[in-house]
Amino acid sequence: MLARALPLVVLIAAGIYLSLAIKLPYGATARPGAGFYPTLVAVFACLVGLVAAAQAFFAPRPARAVVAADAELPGARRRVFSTVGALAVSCFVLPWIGYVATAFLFVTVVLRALGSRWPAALVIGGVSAAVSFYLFAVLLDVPLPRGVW
Amino acid sequence: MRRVLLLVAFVLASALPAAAQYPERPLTIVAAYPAGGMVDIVARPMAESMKKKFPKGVAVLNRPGGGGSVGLAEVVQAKPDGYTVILAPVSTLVIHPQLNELPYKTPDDYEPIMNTIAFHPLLAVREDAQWKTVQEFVNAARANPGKLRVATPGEGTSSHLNLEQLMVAGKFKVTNVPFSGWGESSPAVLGGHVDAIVAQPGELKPLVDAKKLRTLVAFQEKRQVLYSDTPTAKELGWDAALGTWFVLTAPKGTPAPVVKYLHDAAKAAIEEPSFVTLMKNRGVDIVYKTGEQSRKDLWKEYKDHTEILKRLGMIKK
Amino acid sequence: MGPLEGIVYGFSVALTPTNVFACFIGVVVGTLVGVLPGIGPVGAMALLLPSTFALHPATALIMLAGIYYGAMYGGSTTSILVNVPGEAGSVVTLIDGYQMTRKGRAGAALAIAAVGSFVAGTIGVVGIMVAAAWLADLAVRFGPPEYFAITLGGLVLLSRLTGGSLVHAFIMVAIGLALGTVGMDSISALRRFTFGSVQLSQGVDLVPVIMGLYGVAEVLLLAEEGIRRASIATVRLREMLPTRLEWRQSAAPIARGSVVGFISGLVPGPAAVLSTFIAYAVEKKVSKTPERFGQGAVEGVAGPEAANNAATAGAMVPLLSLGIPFSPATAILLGALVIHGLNPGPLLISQRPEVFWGFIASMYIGNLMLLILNLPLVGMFVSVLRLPQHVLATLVLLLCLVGAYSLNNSFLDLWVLTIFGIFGYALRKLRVDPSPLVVALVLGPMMEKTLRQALFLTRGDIVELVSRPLTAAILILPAAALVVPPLVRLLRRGRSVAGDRAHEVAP
Repeated sequence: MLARALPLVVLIAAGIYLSLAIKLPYGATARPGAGFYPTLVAVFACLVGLVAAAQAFFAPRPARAVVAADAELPGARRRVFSTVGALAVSCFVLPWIGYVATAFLFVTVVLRALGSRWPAALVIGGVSAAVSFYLFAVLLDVPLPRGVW
Repeated sequence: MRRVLLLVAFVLASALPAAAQYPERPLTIVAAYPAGGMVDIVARPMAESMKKKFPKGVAVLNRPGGGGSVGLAEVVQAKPDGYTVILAPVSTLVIHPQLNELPYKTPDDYEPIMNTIAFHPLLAVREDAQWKTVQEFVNAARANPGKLRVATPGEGTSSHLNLEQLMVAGKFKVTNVPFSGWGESSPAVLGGHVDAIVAQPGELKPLVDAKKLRTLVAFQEKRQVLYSDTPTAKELGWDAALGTWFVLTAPKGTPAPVVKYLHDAAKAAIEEPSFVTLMKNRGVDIVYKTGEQSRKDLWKEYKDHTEILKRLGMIKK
Repeated sequence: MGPLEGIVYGFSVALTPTNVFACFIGVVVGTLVGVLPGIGPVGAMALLLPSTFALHPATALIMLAGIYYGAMYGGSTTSILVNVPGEAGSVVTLIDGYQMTRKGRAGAALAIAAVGSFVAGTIGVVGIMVAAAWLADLAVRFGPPEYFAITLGGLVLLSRLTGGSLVHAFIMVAIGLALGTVGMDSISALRRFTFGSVQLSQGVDLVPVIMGLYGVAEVLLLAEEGIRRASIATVRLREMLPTRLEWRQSAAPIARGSVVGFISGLVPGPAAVLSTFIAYAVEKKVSKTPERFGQGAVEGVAGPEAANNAATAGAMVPLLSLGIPFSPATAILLGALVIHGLNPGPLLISQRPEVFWGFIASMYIGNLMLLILNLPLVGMFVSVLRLPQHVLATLVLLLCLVGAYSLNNSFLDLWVLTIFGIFGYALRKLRVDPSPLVVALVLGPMMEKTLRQALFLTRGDIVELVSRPLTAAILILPAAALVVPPLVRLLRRGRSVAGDRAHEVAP
């Protein structure tokens, strides 16, 4: 199922990319503009998508079970989602609450989600926020976000 | 414990009311180009000597991308509290908003503090090229329209626009080969892949000194100090003298006293003898202009560029 | 002054206490930023540039360059230990380096990487010393058409680096090429595919992409397992050193990697990254046991790690002999010299011999310092693996986060990191190798620029473009690579249809 859907996704994406690329100034072969190369890339992407689709539909058997068949560990999905969620939320809040608070919250939350106990998560969160802040902001002079306060 | 202390100190330091006396926080000068480029080379020594007026420090923040427009877009949207300013070349200020949709459109959408420096490009060929003067080059170009190839650091750069101006004024045609910067265009001319190059005086200098390149014409009103033997386009009766200048700029709405403080600190910085020498060796002129004057000149440049860009078909409609 | 007199004079400059100290600071900072994912030599040099203002130009250059080549030593560390490429130049290292770690050979991989870097760094300096002027003249013979041929050929050859399905590889290439067009067009300053976002006009940076595709994806896989004890039970000191067999297997790859890397350094653009891919491809080609690659082959660490160090030396050639920066890192070195009132070019060697020769001599000293510094660190880094796995994973993620931000001071890079982390995780689940995407993202922007410049040059005459002798020579190779294997397969197909199909689809 997924093996057949994937080429379609590629084709659709390539189509969207092509429709955007041809709106850019193409120029001429002697004076290629900003849209010249993207158009070539788009054509290549569409061709690849077509070949992939053809292979997926006309292959004698669907190209093997694509998704790894390993037995899923209990709670695996929850842990992966929480980690991704924590990462995305951090991207959101970093400009607002600054680096130290974000780092502390991020490490604590992820450790909790992966199964650490509260005290361990809090301590590691605190230490890692402080150490990484010291490394980057103090030693290397990186201007880390300070937040809105 | 350390973290808690740090956090407490951090919160206390940043929670204090932002009134009191103006420079009570570090100043950030955004350099909207990668480190090592000309903007960076001007911004860093300036920041260094502006520290005298900003006891909390002056940081240069490289925020490259979009020909400087990423950095400028962030600055125009920043809090106009005088702690975030940008050193931006005229192309970022007036050309990019005409090519792309940006949060700033015209010189009225930001607050020019003062102009700092200016420099003008030159046309150069390989030392062993058959053209010894610009007239010979132009004659060769007239004889074979479009055959000679000239490298520029990109479309819409002052180097490119000067070349286009020169073609109109001198009534000849060459093929412009746009690169992205000196790092790419210079090997092309040294290797003979293009016939000539338009580039900044400081970039050309070491290669001219080493007799690898020869300058033919300067796109400047007066003769360039480093190249006193090279005629200007004006002398030859061709009107092509577009320069690049860097304007220290704040977000619109920055309070007038703060702008004045920044202006005074920056003015002292560009008058510093070491800075003057550094720029002179680079073929760069210190061009002080007030914020008011800068805005006027930016408007003039804005309109001039509109015409050239329209003629080149770089602006739609 | 000949090279011999020059270098003796150079050592007299480089061995003054101030300069030795500057060199030491440089290589220590370099090692640090190399180890930390994200922030790389370019960022670190820019940040530390102001602190060199008060120094002599030679001292400043010695220190900043120390950061540059020092970072190539440290860069492999996180690649090998936790599958996070510390710099773009150490993506390839993780393919086999991380596998070695999983087999308990982390110490060996790190030690080989350090020794390989040292050998390559030293060979590179010799290369600069004896042949800089000649090589620089050679480098400018290559114009945009030749560089276009190189990138196109490189793309075709390198996208098949790790084998696997051809269609999948091409899908990855297409994605990589398309990503490379996002942002401002560097020739015409027009924005493309930014959907009105000013932030996006800075483009999609390579580093957060690779940190996401490999590092974050790996962490998400670890997250599935949840709480775990140490990733590696115990590492005894004896096990940390490479075995005699491993040394023997690495010797030739280090030598080849040094040569490949040094030459790649002469190519403008992302030389360090490119050199590692080429070195890996070379090792896999010449190996009698190519099936070991991807399973923890020590050659796959030794070759690329030597190459990226030699490439930093190669990249100094156009800088020192012409004053032309071919890469962002050398652009900063150039900028630093300019701020110090120098205008480096062909005359640097005669006008400021103390800077030129002092700098070259310092690179010998710096490389030696790095070797002495890095070998004991191997033990320390390996002990990081004793951390409980979920703690290590979380800390790696935090380092990716702060590292990605510190690249361009951009929040966009954080989103790129996250999105490509999810994407990389999905690819791992689908058993698709992301390396063709990385190759395409590295080469794509350069391919576009050189293609367009080449067409401007030849006024759109494609025949003239491909018939330049150098271009034609370069293009024949990938064309053969593209045409010959399917042809062979077509001929074989007559014999066994089913067997061939299975071969093609298996990842």
